Amino acid sequence: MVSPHKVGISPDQLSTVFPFHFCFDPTLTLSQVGHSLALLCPGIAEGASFFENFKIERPAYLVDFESILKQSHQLFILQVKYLDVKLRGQMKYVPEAGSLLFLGSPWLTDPAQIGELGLTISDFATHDNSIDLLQVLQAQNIALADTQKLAKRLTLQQAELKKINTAMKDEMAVRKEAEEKLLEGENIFQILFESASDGIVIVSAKGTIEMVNDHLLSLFGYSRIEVLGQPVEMLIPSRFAEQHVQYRTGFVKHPQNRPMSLSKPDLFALRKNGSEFPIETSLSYVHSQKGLVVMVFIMDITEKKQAEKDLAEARDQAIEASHLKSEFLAAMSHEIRTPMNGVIGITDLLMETALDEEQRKLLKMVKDSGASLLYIINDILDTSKIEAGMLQLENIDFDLSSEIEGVSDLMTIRTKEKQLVLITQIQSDVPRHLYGDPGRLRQILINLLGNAIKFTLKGTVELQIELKALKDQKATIFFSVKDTGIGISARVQSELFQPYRQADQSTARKFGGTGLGLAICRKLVELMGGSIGVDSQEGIGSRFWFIVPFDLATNEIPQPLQQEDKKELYPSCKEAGNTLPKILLAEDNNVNALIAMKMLERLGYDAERVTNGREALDAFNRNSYRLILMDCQMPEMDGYETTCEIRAIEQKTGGHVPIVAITASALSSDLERCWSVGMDDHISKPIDKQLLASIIERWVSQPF
Amino acid sequence: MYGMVNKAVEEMVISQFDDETWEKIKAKAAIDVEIFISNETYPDEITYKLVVSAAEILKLTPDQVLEAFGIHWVCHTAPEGYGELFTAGGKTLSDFLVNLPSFHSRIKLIFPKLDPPIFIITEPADNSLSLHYYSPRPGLTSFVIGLLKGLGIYYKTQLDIVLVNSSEAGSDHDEFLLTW
Repeated sequence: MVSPHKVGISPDQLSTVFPFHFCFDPTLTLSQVGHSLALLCPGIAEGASFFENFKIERPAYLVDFESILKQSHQLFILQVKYLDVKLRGQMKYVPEAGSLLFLGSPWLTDPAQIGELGLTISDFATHDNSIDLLQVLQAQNIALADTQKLAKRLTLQQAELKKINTAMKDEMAVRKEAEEKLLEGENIFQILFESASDGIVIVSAKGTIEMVNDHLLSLFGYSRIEVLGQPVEMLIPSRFAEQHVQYRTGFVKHPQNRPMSLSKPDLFALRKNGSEFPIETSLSYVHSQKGLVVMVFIMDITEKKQAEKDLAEARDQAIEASHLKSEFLAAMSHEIRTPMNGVIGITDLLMETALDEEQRKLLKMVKDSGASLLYIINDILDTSKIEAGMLQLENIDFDLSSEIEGVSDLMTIRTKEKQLVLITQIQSDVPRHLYGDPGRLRQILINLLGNAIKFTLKGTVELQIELKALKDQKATIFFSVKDTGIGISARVQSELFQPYRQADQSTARKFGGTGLGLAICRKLVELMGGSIGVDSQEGIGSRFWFIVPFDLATNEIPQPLQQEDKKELYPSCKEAGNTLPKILLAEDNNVNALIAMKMLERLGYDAERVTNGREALDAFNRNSYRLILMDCQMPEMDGYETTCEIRAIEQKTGGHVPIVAITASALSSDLERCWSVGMDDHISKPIDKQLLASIIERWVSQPF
Repeated sequence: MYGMVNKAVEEMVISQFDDETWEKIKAKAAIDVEIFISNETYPDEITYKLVVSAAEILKLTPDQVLEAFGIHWVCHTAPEGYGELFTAGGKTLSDFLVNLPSFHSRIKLIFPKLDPPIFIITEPADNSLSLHYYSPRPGLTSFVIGLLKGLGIYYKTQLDIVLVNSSEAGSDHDEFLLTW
């Protein structure tokens, strides 16, 4: 127990200022313990042994009271046994008590220790700066935490920076590459721009010239400085400039790329020296930062234009030459046909006279040869007309079944000769009355059937007619001619409808023919608005077909006279016995006239012939005729003029003599002219006797 | 003002709102400090600006912000920043309040540049005491109220706070009568 001296201080008071103090006597027995120390370690209490509760860390090697006493001026560090805590303080010998007094407090190096030891601030003496130390330590910890946080953020930011840096580097590399490419692109553009074979001008939306290539400058004869910044209209002849401004303004509002081939025709450019030259242009545009920019390619087409002109002239000359040739051929054919008709006609007349067998056989050969030649001439004539663009189709109402029947009758004769079977089939739904050119239809069918018969040695030839469509008063009719002939190779099929083509030369030698027939057929079918074709297999046969749209006939078709009717006509005239009907024939050609006169005589008419229109007019004035057969083409006064005169006379005298035109062709233009001058009917050359009979009968039987 | 205060404002905003709001507040206050160092002193103006700016952005009054901040300080900042030392401040609300003046006295010693507020306890009783708050910084009364409310929460003790004398009403300090 410490005795109070000048400042009396009780153990409790001592405990308040040194709550962790303790006293121990020379036997190393604890005699007094501060309240906080007792709180810290309940084992440390009065009567307890020093060394059982403490280990002296400093000063070192103190093992007993004496040694401790000797070192009492030193700083003592005591390890509290059984607890992880050290006490820091000093020893003070209290002679009055013969004991050593330890004054100190726990040595705390971590604020966490307070809690771990179950202490609070109140357990420390107010003057004790252990808490302050802890606060400093705590501040240090906080600072450390701040630093660590900063370091962490710095590391993150560093990483972020690196990332950004890398990204920036990458972007810079990309940009650099893009710049290089751009530069390269610009260089390439520049090279292409300058090396272009056309003149190029780049124009702003305002119409000023922004850029030109060297070629343009040489085309127009300007220097670069003279054109840059100038209106593009300086390159255009003044007469077009105003229009061009309007066009350019419109283009800026609705820009559209335009290739060279679509440039307007007849564009002209203006050189610096005032001369003009023809150009073609193409336009392309782009929206740049400066606004719309238009690139114009300008091609000088002077040479092209000249070449086109030369070509056109050459083509015109060729067409003209071809035309002249066709006209010549047509004229020649006509000229040949006229005497040929004479030969055939007279042969016919001769054959009706009394002949022996030999004579008849020879005459037949003459007639057949003539007919063949006429056939060839007709083909040449048609081809010439086609090539000269002179072939015109007739458009009249006709009876399809009659036409087919006629064709069939005609061809039956030939099939019989070759012992072939001709089968004709018209499907029941095929309209009978059509509007078109029956003559040309007949021509096509005769040609196809003729070929089929020609190239078929045995078997059948079939003509089939089917309705493919019927709509809006239009009937599309399919015609096919099928044979069991030699057939045609695929190679030849493709060329078959070209003029002057035959299956091959040997075919031509063997079967004859001009090789024009199918080309004419094709042209006729095309003129009718249809198409023609062939399916064939060599050795098996062929099927030629064509399909043609016809308008339906608008009027009822008068039925042609039947054969039986015709037969009755002839005797009726002859048997009449009275005055024979008087007929005037106006025909300049002697052969034709002879044939016609013979025919009229045999038909039982009293015929009189004159050789031109003037004579015909005289005869008309002198005599009364029941009918006049009027050739259209005659010297001095032709048939048309003569008819006009006759009709003019009749206007005054009254009466109407039927005038039947004898025409070289059945062209509608010729017929129209016949009707316009007042003719009543027509018959085309060569004159068919039976047709002549029926026409005359039709008019003669009518009352005046 | 101690950096920890500004840092606490930041933590409160971020924990109760988000980073974006804090950045907005900082931008509005025109403060470009990236990180507040806890033990560094910053001009008081920064704290005031942050409070005003936070009030505007969060659509609160500055007093509401200060009070919320005081609560946050005690319940989050101090335990996390001071840890066991804060816990060692007292085993009970009463202990803590009694130690509060010494606590600030020690701070003043350790951080001489700081000018901490002065707390004085009078009339300590078993369930009440008078807390006198003197500060060189005006306008922080609400912050102290928040701190006291926070202590009540921390020590799970029902604490009644009555502002007996107010610096705003002309007194040289604020006096609170605390009852629990």
